[in-house]
Amino acid sequence: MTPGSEYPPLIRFDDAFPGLCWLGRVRPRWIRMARSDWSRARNFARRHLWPMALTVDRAVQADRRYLAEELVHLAARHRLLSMYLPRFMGGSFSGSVLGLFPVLEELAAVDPGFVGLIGGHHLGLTALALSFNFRLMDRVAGLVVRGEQTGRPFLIDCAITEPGAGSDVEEEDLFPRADLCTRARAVPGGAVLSGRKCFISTGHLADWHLVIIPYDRTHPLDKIGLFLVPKNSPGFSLGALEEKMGQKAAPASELVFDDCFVPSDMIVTQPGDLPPGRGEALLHGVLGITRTAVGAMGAGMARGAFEIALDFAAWHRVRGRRMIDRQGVQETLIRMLARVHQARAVYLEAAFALCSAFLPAQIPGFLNSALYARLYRTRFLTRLRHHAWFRRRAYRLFAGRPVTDHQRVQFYSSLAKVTGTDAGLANAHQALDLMGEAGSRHENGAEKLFRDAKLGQIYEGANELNRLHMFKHFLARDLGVDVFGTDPK
Amino acid sequence: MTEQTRALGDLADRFARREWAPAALEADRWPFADFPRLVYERAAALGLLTPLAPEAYGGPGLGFEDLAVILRHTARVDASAAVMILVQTLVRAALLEFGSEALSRTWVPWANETPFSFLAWPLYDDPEDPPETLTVRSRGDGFVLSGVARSLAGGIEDGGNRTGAAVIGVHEHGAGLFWVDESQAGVRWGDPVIGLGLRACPVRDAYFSAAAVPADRVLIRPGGLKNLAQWLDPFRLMAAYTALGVLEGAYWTARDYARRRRQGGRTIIQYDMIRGKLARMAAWIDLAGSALSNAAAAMEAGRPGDSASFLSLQTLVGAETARLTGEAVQVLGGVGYCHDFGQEKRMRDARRLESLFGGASGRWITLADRCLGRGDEGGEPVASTGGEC
Repeated sequence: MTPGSEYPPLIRFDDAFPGLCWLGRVRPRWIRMARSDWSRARNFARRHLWPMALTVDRAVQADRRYLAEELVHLAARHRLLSMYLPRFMGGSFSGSVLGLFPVLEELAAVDPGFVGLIGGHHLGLTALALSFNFRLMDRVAGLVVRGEQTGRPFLIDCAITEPGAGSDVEEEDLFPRADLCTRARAVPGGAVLSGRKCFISTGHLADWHLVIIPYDRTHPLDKIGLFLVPKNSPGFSLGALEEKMGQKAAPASELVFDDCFVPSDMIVTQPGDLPPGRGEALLHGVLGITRTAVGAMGAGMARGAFEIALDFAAWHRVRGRRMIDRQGVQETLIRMLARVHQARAVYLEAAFALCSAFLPAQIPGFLNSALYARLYRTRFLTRLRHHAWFRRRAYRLFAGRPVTDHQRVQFYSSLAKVTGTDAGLANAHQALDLMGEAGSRHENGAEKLFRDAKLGQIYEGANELNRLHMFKHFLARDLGVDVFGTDPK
Repeated sequence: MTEQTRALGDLADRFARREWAPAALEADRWPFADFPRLVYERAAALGLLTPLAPEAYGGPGLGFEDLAVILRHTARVDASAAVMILVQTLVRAALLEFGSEALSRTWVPWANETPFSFLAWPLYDDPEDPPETLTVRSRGDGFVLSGVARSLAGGIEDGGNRTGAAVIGVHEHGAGLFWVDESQAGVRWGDPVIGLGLRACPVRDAYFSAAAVPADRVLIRPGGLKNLAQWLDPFRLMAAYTALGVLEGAYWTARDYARRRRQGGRTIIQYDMIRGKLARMAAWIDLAGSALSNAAAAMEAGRPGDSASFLSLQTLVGAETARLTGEAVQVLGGVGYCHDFGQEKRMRDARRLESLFGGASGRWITLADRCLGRGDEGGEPVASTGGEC
């Protein structure tokens, strides 16, 4: 695209520089809170998580039915299961949205499997939050917080993938053509679910399952249904526990629904709750957050591989010289570090794009106070937010932003995901190159990171799909290209 | 390729599908699952486990071209099995080349030997840059070994069989190669090493506490290990063939899956990006196959200098296989990442294959030395070993 071309401008200032556009709004207090969150996560990861990471990975290799409950308890003790829940809900979220992503990077640098495990739970909470069903959100939040307090952790997951529908349920243009095997049927008093979901993160450890099944497969997004299914529900059972190459701490489960009845008070959303387009808005909103999170995770994996390689090169000798004294090794190490910085820069830009679209960068001070936490639980505010009117109003605030804001989120979140996860695997490869056989031995941690990193390129939409998603939202809109049209590609 | 080699390839292919394939995934869980000893015994009975062992020692007496065909066909189904064949062949060849006749007579024969003796080799050590974890002192005609020999591959003794290992130790005069067996005083075998891939080619460390090695157990005297580096060259070509086999298996699995799997209303093989990935794999298989065939033919004809060096081939074929097997997992998506489908195993195995005879980064240093000489660091330029560098 030459400067003098007749094509419409493809690059808008707000799209090119979301972080720069946000600079004026960032307050010093927000940065202090983000720094504090990051320090806490770093301390947790190095003192508590690192000693368990390899042990759990090995335990799952020895027994493929092993479930890492000790990591769930560890997360609960350090209030990481409620890290997305604001204080007025009883959660441990400090209030700094921008600070959440560096926290994920810090945890993933030590154990991506742990982040995958709690990530499945947080994916469920995110989808629940963006359904704007505050009644059920309050209920689940209460269970999560009480679980942390009592030492009996409470987890949820988010079930969307099916045996015949993987990447295409992550893309609104492909969803209507997905080969779905599940079905939701409205019945008096609730709904009945049938079919199977697969590769559900955290499935075998979850207490409740947030299940996404359309009422009508010909209009799946318009007729989307979200349901909360407790693990002991009649008609529900756990199926296969997948034996994954990596991120072994996070189970990937099959969920089986055999005419499973869901009472109406456990239906999160159904046709008619919210205006048309809510399915698409939900999908975009959830993926916008989770893909940015996976981007941060990828940056963490890239950093973890770099740190292991650096440590090895600092003491290991090749041809009589320390590896780190060789310029070739120095160049490799700096390439690895550069990838970390690139991935981090992109996920931070994605975070700014999210904040410019629909996420508050920070929970305002009053809403984060003990007084507001008491007010939140009053009957008046509870009834207000549980009312259908309030739900529709909140949804309109979210979905009513300019289309370009949502497109920016879609582009940057996918870019963060692709950049971070590609960096993670590239650095893992280079760490193994540098370390040779030592890198392939389990006890040194590099081969585990290699196995863990590969999954980042696959889930939350394969990277190939994400690249097309980026093209659709930033280029196709102005070039009249139908990325996911019906013609063979 | 001779008719005999072609027939051997058919045999290896049939054996791979009927025997290696059903056992591969379970064997990959070693040491948390049983070692598939019976399958190896059956391979040995057919001459597929130590094809280079001479007829005078009860072996098939085959050549490197035959070994290449066996490895390639086996690796398509299970790289672990292929590398185990490589190790068992290599150890016995080293005993014949460097060991005394008495040592060879004790360890090389396999015919009618049950249970089969799985021998170990320092498969992941770079003979040009040996590790210094096992130190050697002279004592009389022999030596005393102290320290640890890490990542010895191929040895296993779960069936009451004998086992032995070649180990590299470093003496004040330089590195040497020594033979030890399970009856050796002062040697303790470590627990199984859990590794990234090639798991059914078991790996263990061996710990030495002033273990005496008499003169007749010395394979290469201290200072002579550079001979091993040159001698290993044909086995580098065999490692490249193994990598090629892994990639072929990965490509066929990805292609067949792409023809069946539907997303977005069509089979995924109809999507440009998937077609592009598969085409890159197919093109690389074509190129690598051709280069390796040329090298093997030149070696058989006694003209190894007419082809790219075996070190180059091992390095480049290995690196690209490690990368493309990751793409092959990507074609299968979530299913490719799970153990049951065998594709993620290929990615892990390919990655571990890169460490054979030393890690990738050390190998590039060796290649640079061979092609370019040592430059300003002094010393005589090292002659290139094949092709125009």
